[in-house]
Order: sequence, then C-alpha cells, then structure tokens
Amino acid sequence: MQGLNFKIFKIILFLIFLLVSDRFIGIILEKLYNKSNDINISKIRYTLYDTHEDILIFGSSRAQHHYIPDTISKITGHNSYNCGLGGQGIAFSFIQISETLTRYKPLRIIFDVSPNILLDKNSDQKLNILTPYYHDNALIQNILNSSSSFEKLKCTSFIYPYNGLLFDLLTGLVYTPHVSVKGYIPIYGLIDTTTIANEDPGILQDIPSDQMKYLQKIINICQSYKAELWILVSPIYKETKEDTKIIQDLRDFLFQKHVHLLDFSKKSDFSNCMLFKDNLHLNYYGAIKYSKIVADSIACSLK
Amino acid sequence: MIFNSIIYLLFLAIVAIVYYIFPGKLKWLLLLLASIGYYLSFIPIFLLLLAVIVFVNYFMAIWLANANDGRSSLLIVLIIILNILILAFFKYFNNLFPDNQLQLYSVALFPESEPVDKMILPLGLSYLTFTVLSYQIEVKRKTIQPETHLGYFSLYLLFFPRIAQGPIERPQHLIPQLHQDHHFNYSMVIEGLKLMLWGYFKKLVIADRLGIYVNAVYNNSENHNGTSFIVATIFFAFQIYADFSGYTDIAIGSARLFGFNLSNNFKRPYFATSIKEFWNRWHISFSTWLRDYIFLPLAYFLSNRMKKQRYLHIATEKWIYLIAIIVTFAICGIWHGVGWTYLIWGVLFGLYLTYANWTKDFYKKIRKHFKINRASPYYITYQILSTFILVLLAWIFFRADSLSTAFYIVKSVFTFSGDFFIDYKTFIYGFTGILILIYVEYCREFRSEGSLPFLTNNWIKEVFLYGSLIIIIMLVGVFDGSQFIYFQY
Repeated sequence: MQGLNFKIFKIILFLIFLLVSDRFIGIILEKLYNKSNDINISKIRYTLYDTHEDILIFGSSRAQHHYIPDTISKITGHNSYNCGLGGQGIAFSFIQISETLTRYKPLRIIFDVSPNILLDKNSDQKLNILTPYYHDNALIQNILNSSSSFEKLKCTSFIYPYNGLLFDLLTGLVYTPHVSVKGYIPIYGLIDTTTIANEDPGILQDIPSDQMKYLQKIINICQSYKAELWILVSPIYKETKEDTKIIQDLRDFLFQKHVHLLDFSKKSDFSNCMLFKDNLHLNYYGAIKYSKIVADSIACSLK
Repeated sequence: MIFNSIIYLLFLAIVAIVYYIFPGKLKWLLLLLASIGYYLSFIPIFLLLLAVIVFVNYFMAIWLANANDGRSSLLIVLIIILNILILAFFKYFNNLFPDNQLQLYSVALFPESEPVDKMILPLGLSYLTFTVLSYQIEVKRKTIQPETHLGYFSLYLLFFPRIAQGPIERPQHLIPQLHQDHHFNYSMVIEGLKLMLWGYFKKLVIADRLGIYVNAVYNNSENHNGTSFIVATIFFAFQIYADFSGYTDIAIGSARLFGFNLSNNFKRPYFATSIKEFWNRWHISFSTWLRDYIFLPLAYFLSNRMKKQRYLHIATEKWIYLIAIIVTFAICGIWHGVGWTYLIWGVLFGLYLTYANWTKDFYKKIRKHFKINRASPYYITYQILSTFILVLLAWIFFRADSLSTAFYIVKSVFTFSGDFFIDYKTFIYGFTGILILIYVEYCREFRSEGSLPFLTNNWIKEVFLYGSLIIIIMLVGVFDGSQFIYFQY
C-alpha cells in the first residue's frame, strides 16, 4: 500500500513539476516576447496594436518586399507603414486589418494579393505565429480555434504559444531594429530566368472558398468602417496561365463587390528582368520603381 | 489518426482505460475493435482489403498445416505469390495506371481532410504482407501451429500500434502474448509512457525540425552548393532515424500500455562499426525478415546448386554471398519504392557488404601486420565514422527525387561554389536535438543497455528529465502534423 501511495505521490509531483515549469517558463517567454526586437515579432506587435499611419500596406512577402513606405510618404505627403509579412496569407492580413480598424481608420488600406497567396489552402495553418496573442485577443483566439480543433487544448499551456520562437526571442534581445524601413524589407540580386518553369499545370484551379471567405471578410470590415480599401496585384515577371485565370477570377469577384482592383501583374514597365529577384518578387530597384507608381496613384486619388 | 496527433493520444487513453475495465476474456475483442476504429480513421475502404487478406490467410494457414509435404510446398508458393501480388498491385498501381483518378474517401474526424483522388498504398499493407508471410512460412516450417482463433489471428495482423509501420512481428513473439491475460502493470504502463515521450521528442523536436532544412535543400537542389548538401544529408540521416525510431518508440510504448511487448526495431544504428552491424541495428524486424526469408534460403539454394570449390579462382562461398546479398538488398530497395534511386540505394548496401565479406581476410592481415587493436577507442571511432559516411552516401540516393538529382548531389558534394544555405533557427534547434540524441544513445551504447532514454535510480532526477522532455517538446517541437516518412512504404 505504501508502494502505491509513493507511486501516486511521484505522479502528482511530476504533474506539479510540469504545471509550475510551464507557468514559470511561460511568464519568462511572455516577457521576452514583449521586449523582443526581432524583426517579425516587433512588426506583428506593431501592426496589431500600434500603427497610426495614414497609409497601410498589407499582404504577404510580395507586399513586404514591394512597397517602400518612405517613397510612398514622400510622394503622397502622408506617412505610411508596410505591414506585409512573408510566409503569411489572407487570414493573417484579415486579422491585421480588423485590429487596425478597431483602433482608427487609415486614409488608405492597400492590400496586395497574389495568385500564389490566393491559391494557398493552408492560410489558416500559418497563423500559429499569432499564438502569443491567443489569451489576450478574442479575434485571434476565435480564428485559431476554428483553424485547429485542439488549439484551445494546446493553448492551456503557457509555453505552447511561444512554440518555435525561443531562438527569435533570444536573438531579439540583442537585435536593433531598423526603424527607418517602416516594415519594408529590401531584397537584392537578380532573377535567374533559366529557373522559371515554362510548363503550366494541366488543370487550372479555382480560388479556394476559404480564401474567398477571408477576402470577403476584409471587404466587409473595410466597408463597415467606411475605410478605403485598394486591392493590388503587384508585378510578376512571367505570368502563367494559372496566374491569369486567378487574377481574372479575382477581378470578377471584386467587380461584384464594387471594389477596385489595380492590376500591375502584366504592366509593361516591369518586363525588365533587372527589376526582379525571382518570378514573384521585385528586387530593391524594382520596388523603388513600383512604389513610385503606386504612390502616384494614391496621390492622385487623394487630391 | 497519426501518432503525432492529439486525437491519437485521446484515442489511446480511452482505449487503455476501457481495456483494463473490460473482462479479461474479451480484451482481445476490444483491441480488435480499437484497431479497426484506428484503421477506419484513414481510408475506410482499404479495411475491406485487409479483411480479405486476413480471412484468406487464416484459412490457408490451417490448410497449409494439414497438408502433406508435397502439397504444402505448392501451397506456400501459392500463398507467397498471392500476398506479394496484392502488395505489388497496390504499391505499383500508380505506375501501372498513371492516369487513374480513383476517388478514395478519407475520414475527417476533426480536421478537414483533402479528398484523395488517386490511388495510394493502403496504410500498413507492406508491413501486414511481411507479417503474414512470416506467419505462413513459420507454419510451413512447422515451427508454430496455425492460430485457430480468428479473433486472435486478426488482432495479430491488425494490432493498431504496429499496423502502420511495424515492427514486423514474428508469430512466435506476438501470438502467445495475445493469449495471455493482461492485468494492469504499473511499471509496464509507466515504461510505455516514457518510451512514447522519447518517441515524440525524436519525431517532433528532431525529425520534423531537421526536415525543414533537408526539404529546403533537396527540393531545390539546383540552388545549393556542396556544403549545403553535406549538411542536408547529415541532417537527413538523423531525420529519418529520429522519425522512424520515434515512431517505433511510440508504437512499442502504446503496446506496453496494454501489456504487450513489441520487438525493438532500432539499436543505435549510427554507433555501428560496420555496414553489417548497421543492418543488425537498423529496422531490425525488417532486416532479420530479409535475412531469414530471402538471404538464407537463397544462399542455401545456391550452395546446393554451385558444387565447385571455386569459380574464376574465387571461393564459391564468396560468390554465393555476393549473389544472395545483392538480390536481398535489391528487393529491399524495390520494396521501398519504384525508381532507380531506391534500387541503387539497396544495391549499394549489397556492394558494401560484399566488399566487406570479400576483403575480411585481407583486412585481418593488415590489422595483424600493423598491430591494430580492434578494441582501441581510436579504431572504434574510425570504424563508426567510416560506416556513417558510407551510410550517408546511400542516404543521398534514398532521399533524392530522381537518379539525376542524386548523381548531381554526389558530384556537387565535392564542389564549393554557390551559397551555403544557412537557416540559423533550424541549425540551432536541429543540432541541439541531435546532440541530445547522440548523448542519450552514447550512454545506452557504452554505459548501460536499455530502451528507455534515461536510466537512473534517482526518481527526482527522473521526474526532472522526463518533465524537461515535455517542456522541450512544447518549446521547440514542430506541431504541423507531418506524417512519418515510412508511412509511404
């Protein structure tokens, strides 16, 4: 009987050790997260809770690398910030835009979409980058819960929300952010045109319903706050048949919703390979040229 | 319901609790129902196929045991051909019918699943075929009596912890355990949980983390240089080991919750001092299967046919070894998949082993001449490293998508032009995981044997160590629910 009691005692001790460690380490991680200067962490924090600029750019890596806020600010006379984040999809942008609009209404919301992002069926799955906000943000909590049946259970742990972030948190302590870039990250180098696939896929896909759902939500929330939403497709070096179809589907959808689409994907100004890093991304020089064009359009509309 | 999902843990917990409440005589029924339930969570239609295989083999084994020698020889050939044909049909279906658009319906329990619109290999069919062949051959050899209880026989083949990826259980080992009455055994359950935890650590912290770098390099081979390939190949060696042995630990640990002991599949393979030893430590249930049912019978057959002492001035036994080992490993390669890469991977190991066999007397003389002490730590280290490098070379063929990519990578390993791809995060996490794995395995290899990662009499230290494993998993584990590599085989 003593043996049984001891076994139960060991199990209880093990559970206490786990709970205490989880809580203790979780608190430390939370403090590290809030202090971190890691480029992605500080950008997420800023775009969710601190933006105040007149012109905000949202989207994925193409947004992050294509829109230079300083150039846009100089031409339009309004300050701007690039909220784009590489590797994320429409769901992430929806959360950013929603959080922004609950705080204030920017003059322009620029949302950069691209065919590859519209076709991404796993947009929801990438949102675990937002788990540190799970307990404090109802919108994020709802979306994460709907994307994974067990997210609620996982997030009972205080460590789990910081899963995979330890390295970023530690390096973020010693990292000094470049404030001047305002969310823009330049990429350098030239496209290797020989690596671009010539073949198109046999079956052309439709935009997944989940993606349309988030796009619709973005339009709805902007309309409910009477915020001016611009949807842009930035330049693509070589557009595939699939890209063309997706952009046309997007155009048709946005036409029904009375949202204007600015499509730069086939613009002849961007047929020069010197402006691209790869098929979907402009390099720094391409970004300068493109930002000027976008800024001119914004400036015209603001007059 | 893959092992690295929360739904599996919930399923396992419920089945384990009900199992110990269930009356002793009917425990097998609960496990069989649980196994069917587990299988249904993937692609239900394939359960019909498995049921047919179980029924056919059940009756054939009884027939085989009662047949006279002449008829039983014919019957075993028929049984082998039938089972192999079923496996080959499904394994190579997409190669035979590349344009097929079969609609297979998978079950979405909680997360939505993608529709399967092309034939895929039924889960566990390979392992089930090997298990059933082992059973039938043993019945033919009269080393066992056929199992007459259809329920136990079905459970032997379908037992859920091992259905997907093995271990390939011999009937002598598992069937007697099915007949035993299993009562709750605290030590065994705790051992099972510890082993599962170690398995999850290997899968989530090491394998899936390293996979990020390996996929980035191997899936875009034209963009990487030799250093990237070396690192990616070393990472892949640990990825596939952590993935497969992690799976095995979870399988063995799960079975222990019900009082069953499954065979161990791995015994620290990267501490092997020769390729022969590597295969005695890697995927043991499969390698011993190949040895007992292909290599040895083939070698025996050849030794009866090749009567001369020597052929081309080389001893006949060396020729027999060469033929038997190359054929065995070619089959091993083909079993892994269609394509030259797998075949070359297998044949490469066959050649390594042949070289070792043919030159063993030569190396014995060299060691004697230079007075090399085989027990010397330096010599052992040299042997471990040289074996590891040979294994790495083989892994390139295993991992590469095509033969041209594999040769490109082998060639590129010796060039250093281009950028070295560095992903600091994966490097730090990956290397830390590898170091923990090597340290634990080093302790098991050179200090104390055992399947558990930590062996200590200090229970406070044990609480700390296993608790830390959970914290590390929560902190740096990859929770994207990726499949185990060997699911596809």
